[in-house]
Amino acid sequence: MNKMHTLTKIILSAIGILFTIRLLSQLPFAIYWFYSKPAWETAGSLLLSLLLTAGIVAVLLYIFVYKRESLAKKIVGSEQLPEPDSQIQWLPVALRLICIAGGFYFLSTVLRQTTYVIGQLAFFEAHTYANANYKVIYTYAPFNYRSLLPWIIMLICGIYLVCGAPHFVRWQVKKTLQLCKQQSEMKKVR
Amino acid sequence: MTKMQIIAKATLTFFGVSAIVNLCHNISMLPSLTQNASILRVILFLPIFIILLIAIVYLLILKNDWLAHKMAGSGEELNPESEALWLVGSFRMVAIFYGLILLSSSIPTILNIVVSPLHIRPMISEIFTFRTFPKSLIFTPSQWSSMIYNFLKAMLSVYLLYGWPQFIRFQLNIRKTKSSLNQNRYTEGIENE
Repeated sequence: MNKMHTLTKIILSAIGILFTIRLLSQLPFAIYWFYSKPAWETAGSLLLSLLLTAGIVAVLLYIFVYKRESLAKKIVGSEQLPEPDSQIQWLPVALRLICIAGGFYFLSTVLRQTTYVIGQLAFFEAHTYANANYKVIYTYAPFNYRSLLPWIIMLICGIYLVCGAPHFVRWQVKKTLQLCKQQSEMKKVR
Repeated sequence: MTKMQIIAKATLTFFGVSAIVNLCHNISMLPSLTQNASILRVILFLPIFIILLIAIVYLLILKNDWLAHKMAGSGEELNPESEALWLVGSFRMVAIFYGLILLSSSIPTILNIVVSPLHIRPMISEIFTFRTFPKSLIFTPSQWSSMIYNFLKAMLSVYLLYGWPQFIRFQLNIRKTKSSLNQNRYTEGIENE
């Protein structure tokens, strides 16, 4: 196990803990709907939001804290890095870690929006049963394509980034090395 | 420059760019906050924002070497080739990280920009046929400011994800001129001796 593996493991644990905190911090919003209108609908939405959050937190903790060693090996590649390549090899590893962190940022934002929409729908449903006038006041349509499309794109981007965004990382590394090469060639010409 | 100084420099640049975006967000909210306020208050607010903006750009983005030196301290200097690699790599990582954060809130704006040609055509035909300005294009100042802010943020996120090439080249050129100046001084010193 070299320095890069240890560093990757630490960063992976940090990502897991950070996003667990970010996901747990949205629970008060899920509770808010039930608190403001206690009914079966809002209770159901609260339960669903709690289950979704708990499921994702469990997956996060399992992958990033319990199974972080195998993930670190996958991200870094070979266990013993040859010394001359180590200057270049840290770049894709770091970019991949950034992509994973970005992907979880995307996914946690999608989850927050999902729990918000579920809570809001349940809240309006509970109100419409209580008072028919609410149907007129709240003509809320969260399931049309215009409001759903950005979240679907975000979900797809999030999944791609969590997988390590291989094409994007390869392209960025290629561009970085090209830029460095250009600079060193310009220096030689001068 | 040492490795730690380069990382500190990239981190300072990240703080600078995020501070600029937050400041621009505040400026975009100014029309809605000062709807009932006098023009004098707006005139008083704007210079403060502009001074802060200039200070952030100057201290955290353009001339952050002294702060990076103070933060990271001294250490083993890198050779020019690995210094360039570390500089490009760390700036690019910062760019991608912040680009992804900005992209997460810019996806609706990018979608609106992509579908805008579909909306522009009927509007143009309305202007030429009825000789009236489309009502859907009449926005309040606060709507205009938030639209401009969202557009600039989306452009910045795309540019950062593209790798921030011009800025990185500019930083590399600054480093190169600095190192060549130091080398000239060193050779002049040897010749004088």
